[in-house]
Formats: sequence, C-alpha cells, structure tokens
Amino acid sequence: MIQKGKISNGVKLEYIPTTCPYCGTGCGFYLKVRAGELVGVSPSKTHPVSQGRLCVKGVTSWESVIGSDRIKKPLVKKNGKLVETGWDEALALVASRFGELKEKYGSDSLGVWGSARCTNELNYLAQKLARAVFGTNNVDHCARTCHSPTVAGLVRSFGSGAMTNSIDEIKDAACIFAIGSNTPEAHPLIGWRIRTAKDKGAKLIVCDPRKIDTAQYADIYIQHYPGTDIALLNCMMNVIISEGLEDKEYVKTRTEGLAELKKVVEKYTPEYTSPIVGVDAKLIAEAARLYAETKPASLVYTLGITEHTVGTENVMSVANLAMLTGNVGVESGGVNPLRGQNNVQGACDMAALPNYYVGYQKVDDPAVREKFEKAWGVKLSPKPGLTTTDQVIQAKAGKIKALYIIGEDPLTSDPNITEVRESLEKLEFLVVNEIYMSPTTELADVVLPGASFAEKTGTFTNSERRVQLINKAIEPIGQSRPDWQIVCDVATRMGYPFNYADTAEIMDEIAALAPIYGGISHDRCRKVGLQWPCPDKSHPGTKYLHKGKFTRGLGKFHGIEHKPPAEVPDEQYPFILSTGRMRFHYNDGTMTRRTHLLDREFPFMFVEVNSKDAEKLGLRDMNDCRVLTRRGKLQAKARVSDRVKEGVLWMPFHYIEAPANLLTNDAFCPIARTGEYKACAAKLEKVV
Amino acid sequence: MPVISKIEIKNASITKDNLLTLLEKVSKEKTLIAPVRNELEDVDFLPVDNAAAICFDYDNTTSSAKDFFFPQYECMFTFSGTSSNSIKDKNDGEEIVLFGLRSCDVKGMELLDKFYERTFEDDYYLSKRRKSVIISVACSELNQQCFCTATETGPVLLEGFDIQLIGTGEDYAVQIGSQKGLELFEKYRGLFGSEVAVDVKKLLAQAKQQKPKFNLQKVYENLKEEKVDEKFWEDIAGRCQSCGLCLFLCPTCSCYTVTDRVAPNGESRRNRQWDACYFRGFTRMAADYDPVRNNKEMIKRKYHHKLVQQIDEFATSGCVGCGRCNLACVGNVNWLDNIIKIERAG
Repeated sequence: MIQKGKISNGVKLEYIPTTCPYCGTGCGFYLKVRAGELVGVSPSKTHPVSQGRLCVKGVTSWESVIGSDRIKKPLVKKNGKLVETGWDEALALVASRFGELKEKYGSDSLGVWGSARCTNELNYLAQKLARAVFGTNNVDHCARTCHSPTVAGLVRSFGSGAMTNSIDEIKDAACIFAIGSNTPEAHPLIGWRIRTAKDKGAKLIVCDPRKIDTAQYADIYIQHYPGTDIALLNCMMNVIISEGLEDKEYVKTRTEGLAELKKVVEKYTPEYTSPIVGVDAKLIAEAARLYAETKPASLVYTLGITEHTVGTENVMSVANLAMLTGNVGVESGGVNPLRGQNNVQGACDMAALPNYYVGYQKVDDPAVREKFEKAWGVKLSPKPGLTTTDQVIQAKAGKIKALYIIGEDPLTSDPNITEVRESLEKLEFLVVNEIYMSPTTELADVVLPGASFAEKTGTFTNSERRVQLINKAIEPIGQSRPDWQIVCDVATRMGYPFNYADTAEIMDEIAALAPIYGGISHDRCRKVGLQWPCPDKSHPGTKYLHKGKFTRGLGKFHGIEHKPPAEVPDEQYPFILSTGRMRFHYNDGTMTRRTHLLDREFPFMFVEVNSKDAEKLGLRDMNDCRVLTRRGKLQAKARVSDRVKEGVLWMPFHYIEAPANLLTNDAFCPIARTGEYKACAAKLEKVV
Repeated sequence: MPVISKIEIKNASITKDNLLTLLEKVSKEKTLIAPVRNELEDVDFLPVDNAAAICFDYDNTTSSAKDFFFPQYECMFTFSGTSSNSIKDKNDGEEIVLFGLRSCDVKGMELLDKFYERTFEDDYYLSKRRKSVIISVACSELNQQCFCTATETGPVLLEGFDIQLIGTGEDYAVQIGSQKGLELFEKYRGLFGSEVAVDVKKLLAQAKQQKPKFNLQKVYENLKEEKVDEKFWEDIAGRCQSCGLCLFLCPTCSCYTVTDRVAPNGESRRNRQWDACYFRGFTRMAADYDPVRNNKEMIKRKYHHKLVQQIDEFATSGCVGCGRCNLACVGNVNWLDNIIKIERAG
C-alpha cells in the first residue's frame, strides 16, 4: 500500500562551489544541494584546473560522505567496547588523559597526526596543539606514506619541495617524461593534459612497471622492474653526458656538483644497466636522446618514485636528470611530483611535519623558534619530533604513550599492518577523529566524529601550490563537527585557549607567520585560488618556481648509486610485488567503497599477473589465488594480462577486507621514513 | 495524459521590459528556474526569486535542465521495518516555470518524455514534467561547439514547445505551442503585444546554410551499415576514461540505478541516481560476464544508440547537438568531430 504525496523532493536546488576531496589535482566543482541534502555534482567550466571536466571520483564524490554508517556521535571505550557519548564527556576525557600522560611521561611521549585529507586550517591547529599545548614536535601526517621523499629530495636539489610548475602548463610541453606515475588513473585531470600535449604533437616517454594507459600511446614505453629507477635514470644521464646532449650553459650557470654526478653515472652504460632494469639498452638510449633534445620537457612522477627505501634518492635522481637538460625554472618544463591527496601539499605547508613550523621554517633554528614562541606565548621544544613511522616504532618500544590521529587509518595504509597493530595496541591512549569507522577507530579509546569536506569551510592546497576554498554545503551529519573546532576545544580544555571565529581567521594567523602564505586569505582564494609563494596581499601568486634562480641558489646534483629494494625475489618468494591506486578507488576505500557507482566497478581485491606466469601456475583470469610474503597472506582474484611483466605482481590497496599492506614491507627510506610499498618479494599460489 | 498537449501555434510578441516583468511576476507566484551566472562566471539553471538574477547573455548552461525532472539523485520512497504499509511515496508537487531553455534542450526533453512514457508511465519523471511550463529562447547566434542544424533540433523550433521566444532585435516574437503555454499566456495576457509572425522554416533553412556540419541521414546509414573502420572505435575506446560525465551532461541520457540507503535524518530510502553505459558495472553480469565485451563495443553502442536506434524508435536524433559532451572529456573525445568522421567513412 503506497501512500501518495506525503513528502516532496522539492526543486530548490543550490550549487555550492568547492574543491574535490580526492587527489592532489584540486579540481573544482559544484555540490548540488536540495532540501539540505547532497544530491549530486556539476562541473565548473571556469575552474582553472578542471575546466568543465572531472574524473569519475569527482563526479560521484557527493555520494562518498552520505553513507548510512557515518559516525554520528562521539564514542568512548567502556569495558573494551566503544559506546556512544556526548561531546562534553568525550572532550573532557581527551583533555584530561593527554594532560595526565604529559605530566607522567613528558611531552615527547605524545604525538599528533594531522591529515592530508583535511584543511590547511585544521592542520595548522593540529601542529599548534602538538607544539604549543602538548609541548612536542611529534607531529606529522600521512604524506609520510607517500610524498615525504619529494619534500626531502627536492629541498636538497632545488631548495623547495613542491611541484615546480603548474598543471595547465603540461599541455604545452614539447616532451613529457612520466615515471612511476599512472597519471590517467591516479590524477585523471593531469592525464588529460598529457593526452592534450600528445594530441598537439608532443613526445611522450612513459616508464612504469605496468603497461598503463599512457604507455599505450607513448612514443617510448620503458617497462622496468620495480625498484630500479635510479639505475634507469643514471643510464639516461650517462647517454646524455657521453653524447654531449646536456644543457652546458644551464649546468654551468645554474647548478653545482656535476663532477660528482658524472663520476657516479659513468658506469651506468646502457649495456651495464639493461639487465638490472630489464629493458633493452637501445630503448633507454633512445629515451635519453628524446628527452634531452625535446624542450621544454615536463617531468612527471608519483609514488612509483617515492615509495621505496631509496625514495628520497629517486627524487634527487629525477631532479638530476631535469637539471642536466636545463628543464627546471622554465615554463611547461620542470619536475612535477603529482600529489596523491587533496591537501598533502597544504598539510606539509602547514607544518604537520616534525621538523618545520608553518611555511617550512625549521624548528631547530633559534631565531625561527623565538618568533613562534612570541606569537604563541609559550616555550617551544627545540628538538625535531618523530615522523609517523617512528611514532609507531616508538609506541612499540614504549616511548610513545598516546596519539591523536586525525583522518588517517594506519591499520590499513601503513606497510606491514600486523606490526602496526602491535604498536598501536601498546598505547595507553588513542584518540581518532574520523568520518567512518575503520580498523584504527576500532582500537581507539575515543572516537571523535568529524564533519566531511561538504560540511565545513576551509582551504586545500593542490599539487601546483594553489590554495582553494571548500565551502560548507550541508550541515554536519549527526553530531559530527568540523575537525578544527574539535581541536580548538581540546586545546582550550587543556588550558591553552584556541579562539577562532571561523577558518578565515585561522588563515589570517597562518599568513602572518608563514612568508610563503603571507598574501593569502579566504577572500583572495574565492575565485581561482592563489598559488604560493605569495608573500603579500598584492602579490598575484607564483605559476612556476626557480625561474632564473633556484630557491637554494644553485641547483645541486647528487651522485647516487642504484640500490636494490630492501627485499628482492628469491627461490621461496620469486615475484616482485608492487601496489598502487586505481581509477575507481581511492586509498583505503573509506569513501569510494561507499560510493555505489565506484564500488560496483571494482568490488573485490585482485592481483595482476603476467599471462606466462599464470600459465605456469595453471591460473586463469578470475581464478582465486593467494599472494604470500614474509609478513602475511591474502586471497585475491587473478587478473591475467600482459600489463605487468613476467616476475612482477601488482595489487591495489583499497580493500579493508583484504588489505594489501598485510603483505608490504616495513622497510623505510632512511631519510624520509617512507615505506617500500612498491617492491617486496612475494609468492603466488592457486587456490584449489 | 501527454506531457505536452499541442495546440495550433498562436503568435504574439513581448518587449524586453515586459519579459522582465513577466519573469518577475512568475518568480513570485511559482517556482521559476532560469539560467544564472554565478560569481565564478559559470552559467547553470537554478531557481531564482527575482528576474534580476537571470542571465540572458549565455550560449548554453554547463549542465542540462534534466536535473529538475530526472534528478541526479532522488528519493523514490521511504520505508521502515518490514511492513509494506510503511512505504511512503515521494511525489513532487511543485509547479515550475523553466525559462531560457535552448531549442536543442527542448528537443532533448521531448525525447526524455517519449522515453519515460514509452512502456510504462514513469511517474517520478512525468509528474514533474506535467507540472512544468517551459519558456524556451531560440538561439540567434550559433556557437562553435554545438550543431543543432545538423541534428535538426534548432536553433528555432517548429513545434513541441510550450512557449517559444525568438529574438527580433529589440524585442521577442512569441509563439505559443501547447495548452500549458496558452494558460500561462492567458494569465499574463496584458504583458504581451500584438502578433508578430515569424517564418520559422526560413530561419531554419538560413541557419542550416550558415552552418552545415554533417548530414544526419548519412551518419545514420554509415553506422547502421557498419562502414566505420574498427581503428576509429579503438582510438575512442583508448581515450575514454569512463568518468561518465559526458553522459551525465547529456540532455537525453536517461539511465539510472537504484540504491537503498539510510538517509542522514534516519529514514530508510530507496533512491535512484544517474547511471551511465560507460561503466562496466552497468552491463556486467554474474561471474564477470559482460555482454558488452570491451570498451570499443561500449563506445560503438553509444553512438549506435543515439544516432541509429533512437532515430528508428522515436524518429528523432538521440543527439540534440547541444555540444556539452565536447567540453567535458578528459580523453579529448570530440563527439562532433567523430560524427563528421563517421559521415565521411562511407
């Protein structure tokens, strides 16, 4: 029996401009709102990044935050179970427990994790909470699992750890060199620029262990083994130098350290390198010539470069190659790390990092520290803090006692999660601020429900350093609250009042303290955003970096030797296993698995295997199989094709019911402390 | 009951000032939807509460107006527990006036009407359409991305509209083509001027001469007879990133999927939302079997659907030439360029 006409959907449609909450490209669109609820997304033709286009995740992003199972009330653990409670009780508990533990074990027993998923304003407050209230520099965020080697590496080479050029410049490059970047799937709107450049006649060189979409239309495709990037890049530089193709004038006037580089790359002849990387020697030489001779050349990379034990050195190697050919500091050239999360650039800028204050000002510089002590009115710790990686390790060692984690699920996203679980279980107190329950919230003593990107106002900074607004489209779902307000309440209850009327006021404080954000305000970001460095209120922002001069003065070459991954195949574990992102899903799947159209595309875990390897194992497409490493095992469907070469396996990491990080290796880059997600030794078995 | 009860076309005229007065009055008495240019300079259809908010100098809107009748996401009914007695149907009741549709979009709406009336009456769509009146505005200039002259969907309409405005320089010629249009006209009779006859056929012929893009009949034949090279389809398939945006923006795409969800306010709801044939999940069946074998077949199917099947079924092109999809593709698939290539294939 259907009762007609009881309720109305209504036509009162509103369009709220905002910034996409997924990858670091930073597309703009409108959230459609009817009767106070999200009902869709419409593109914006005038947006400088997306220009009327969107990827499938952007188009469906409205659906990601309205899942029936949003956390609607604060939860506290009672008798081993999380039970709903009010904000007052939850916040009182958080403030008192952190206060007690600080008293008992000292400030450095506490840690705060900001989030590349959250706003600049939240990240600024999170690090201020750690530094000014907890009294520690133990603050970091999830860039540790992805692009920290970019910051560390590019600072060493150029003096500044950000994408050098702007997204829209890529379409005008004469040559594009993409290494370790599945651009069309991970950053579709940047993939569009590569496609456009190619359609306009640009040359395209793709280096990736998987035959990804861009490989299909590349001029040169190099399918090297995971973890052999330095050998490959050194070999290209060997060819360039031996054939005299380097930009001699540029190298002479703009850089230093060439002799050191020359000495190292000398032995990486194509013949020497070919067996290491598993690629024909001639093809590498051809790629080297094409890249050196076609200018401007835009170098694009992503986590295929950074997520290695040699991540930082990989980054310095791509910087070497770009400088050698005079491609840094020029329009449509540059070294372009594509950031994986909506605000990973911003979270770094805001100093959710253990060694910097906001705007990359060093915590161990006394003059800088004095400035912040004065601004915040407290004594600050001169000792750089621990990375998230080391906070986890030190939790197991009993030195870290309590963590405040915001918008992050290390029990899905960190390498070797069995080990991470043991560490987090040893904490005396764990607070997690989330929008949906996750393996990490299950371990928490207090779960604080945060408002999603659609329910709050603030800014994200995209990969090209563009600070853009997100605008509140609907009221926070349930009793969830904007995360910046939650942090304010915790700080205030701990005796250090954080008083901000709104997020614009927080940005004003950021602008006052960080010279690169000096001219940025919410009002100025309203239309097309603003790209830092933007030192004052009349500055128009900066399209590309290092024009005429590197941030550090001269660009610095580093001679870097190839080192194999921490774990290489052997008789017992004969495959190299690599992991990554696909078009229809995002990271831990928290949002995309709750989006009907996305989850329907890829609802289950799979492993890509080469057809020859599959044949040897008697595996057919869609057969069940088991992937084993020294750390764990997972069942998955076999996807048999020639996308990966023989001896290589690839798995996505989006499935909490089958988390790839049960398998990955918790071996870390010694400089940036990022895990080696892209290469470990594995075994494959058919499930019979 | 048909969505549009056609009448013999009645001619009138209206001055620009009186049009503003008309829209102002309508905005106060009914829900008025019209093109709005926002602070970011994007133009889209939105509800307006006064005539001053309306944008008149636009080529077309970014999204089509189908969202007001076939929303991207809509609740069909709510329910609770296990009893069917708990089902409450959502039934939209508001009368709306939609101002500023271009001819192509009116033709797109006509096709959606036919589709949703075809086998069974889709009440969710039709109840909204039946309560709407559309005042369309013919294009006086043809822009580069669109091609209504080739799809025979504009820039002026011969029939199928409620009220059509045709610019005459200073003012507008008005044509009333339906019972609903006539009722609105009668209600505000005093704002309209005397009859200005327009030779629509002549306008159409002139436009067609000005902008010949392709011959629809030839395109239809080449597709039907499969004269197009496989490489052509392979190229498009390699470019398509399955974002679905071109189909979401298309004024004639009508596919949806159905989900159940507990809404933020605690209600259990059955919803429908836009779906697209560029997703594998749209056609994939058990055990990963997909009758549309690969992306190439998927792309072919769309061209065939719009430019053969819908012409066979409805005697009108499934593509109305609005050009929205040309500006939405991250693979640089240009639908217009591709139709021209299909035309030349034979």
